[in-house]
Amino acid sequence: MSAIVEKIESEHTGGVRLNGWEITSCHMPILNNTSIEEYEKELDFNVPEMIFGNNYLRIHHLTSGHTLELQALDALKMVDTSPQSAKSVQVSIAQGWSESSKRNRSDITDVIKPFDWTLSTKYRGTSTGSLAFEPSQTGIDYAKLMVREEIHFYDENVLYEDDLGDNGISQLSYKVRVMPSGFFVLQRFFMRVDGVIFRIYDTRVHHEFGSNRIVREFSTRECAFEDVRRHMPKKKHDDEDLSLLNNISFVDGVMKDPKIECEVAYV
Amino acid sequence: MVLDIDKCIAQLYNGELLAESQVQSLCLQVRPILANESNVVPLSAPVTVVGDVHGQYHDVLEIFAIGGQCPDTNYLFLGDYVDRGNHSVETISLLCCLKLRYPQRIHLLRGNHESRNITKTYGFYTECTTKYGGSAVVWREFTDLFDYLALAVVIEDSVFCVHGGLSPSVSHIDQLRVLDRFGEIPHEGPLADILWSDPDPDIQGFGRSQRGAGYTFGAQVVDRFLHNNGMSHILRAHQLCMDGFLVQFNDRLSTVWSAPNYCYRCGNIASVLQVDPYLKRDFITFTAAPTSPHKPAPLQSTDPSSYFI
Repeated sequence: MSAIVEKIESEHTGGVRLNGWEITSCHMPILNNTSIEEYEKELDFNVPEMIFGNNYLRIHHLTSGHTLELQALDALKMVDTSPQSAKSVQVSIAQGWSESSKRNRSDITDVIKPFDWTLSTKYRGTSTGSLAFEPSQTGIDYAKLMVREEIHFYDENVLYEDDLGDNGISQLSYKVRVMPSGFFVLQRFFMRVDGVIFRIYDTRVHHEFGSNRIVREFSTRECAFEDVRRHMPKKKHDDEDLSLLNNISFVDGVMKDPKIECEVAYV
Repeated sequence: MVLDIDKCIAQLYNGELLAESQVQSLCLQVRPILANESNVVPLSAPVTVVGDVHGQYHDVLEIFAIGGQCPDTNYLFLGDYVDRGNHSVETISLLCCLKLRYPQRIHLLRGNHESRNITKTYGFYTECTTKYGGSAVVWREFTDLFDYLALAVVIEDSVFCVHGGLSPSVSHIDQLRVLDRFGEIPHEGPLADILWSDPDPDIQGFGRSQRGAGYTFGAQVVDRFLHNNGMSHILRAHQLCMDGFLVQFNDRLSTVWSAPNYCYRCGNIASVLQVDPYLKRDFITFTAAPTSPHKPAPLQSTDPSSYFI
């Protein structure tokens, strides 16, 4: 196994090449209006307010050409656009609104093109070449990941983010680390609707150099807003500060009982 | 206490916070100035219109550098002074000081973030208590003051300016004039609508938001509103624009966005809109001030947080 580690660095892209793999992560500004229009034609709904459509994580196996990529457009294509998709989550004041708007106004149209406005996505990455994941009984070996070793490359990046019209947050982001033993990726979809719900969908991908397996775990967690809020540390004389609910690490620590699916692909 | 307003302004330009007692005195003196303004304030051109700034204080100073200092330039701010950025306190303090010092040269409208509940989640409350030793007095003073901010402006009887947009309950501006605005933003009704609604070029009339509360509005609504009120254009803010501004509905509505590199990472341009005495509109775009915080440097590979699981 080659121990040569080549760093990759350009204006927007950083990464590393080693052991027959090339792992690159690209940071660009949010899309301009022209690109947004193209995306919206393809998706048929409004893109997130902060759409980093040109950001990506690319994990490329040099000999086989297999690639696993994380990027916003493919993630957004998995947002639900079925007829009931818009109503599955509603803001906290929606109950009062629907009652009063029933009294009104035939000239106000209901939702024409429904979509899941929380931008929830169960996207696990885009595979090219003939990289195919199939269900597996075994998951990621976390014991191996907890071994402290040198980190050749670390990055974190956002693919999209939206404040849900000032009603919360919806964010898709990833972290990647490359070690002498292999690479590990965590892509996280994090969503909060104020007063209503929290949702975290995690995709973890692990490969050990020298093995032919890539193991992927997809985990989902969902929790009522109050069930997270009641875990906030009680400050003397001050229970007004809700900003800790913006702290993804805090919420991650509180939300338990994930449903996990394991998969494996072979290179 | 007797407030030396010029000293306060100098303090803030110097990057120094006002003391809690100065904030209390400032808010006490600004309140009657705001309260005496009607819900819809008539203004003359020329005036420079500013969109959301969200606590990006260094970029507000940049706006004054490129647009001209107040009071040499007349300014209209469309709301959303606080939350998300790291310097909401300095931002709202300076704007209130300028309002006290030059009440006819700067006008401040209410945005949907000028509200108690939303500021508890999105940063202003935390920033106030952090910067003032755990005390919430400054937050309370400013959020009480927000109840007095005007709702809309009309420039030269022709350009309607508001934070969000139009309301199905408001076809004529007189319907805004009769509202009692002195209180917290309600959950629904015309006052909520004009601070929260968004244009939608895909519809003609009003649409109900997918989220279960809130409206969108289309071309026919814009045309009808302008026609009914004898006006030519709607100026609003509220939505992030990558290019700093967006003009829609055949040049009948503009969105102006004034927070560059929003949240210190979007990489977007911002703008202010100069309206000249002939009502000609010019967007002046700008990027983040050199003194503005940048995205924090990526974690080094030796940082323990890079051993994530």
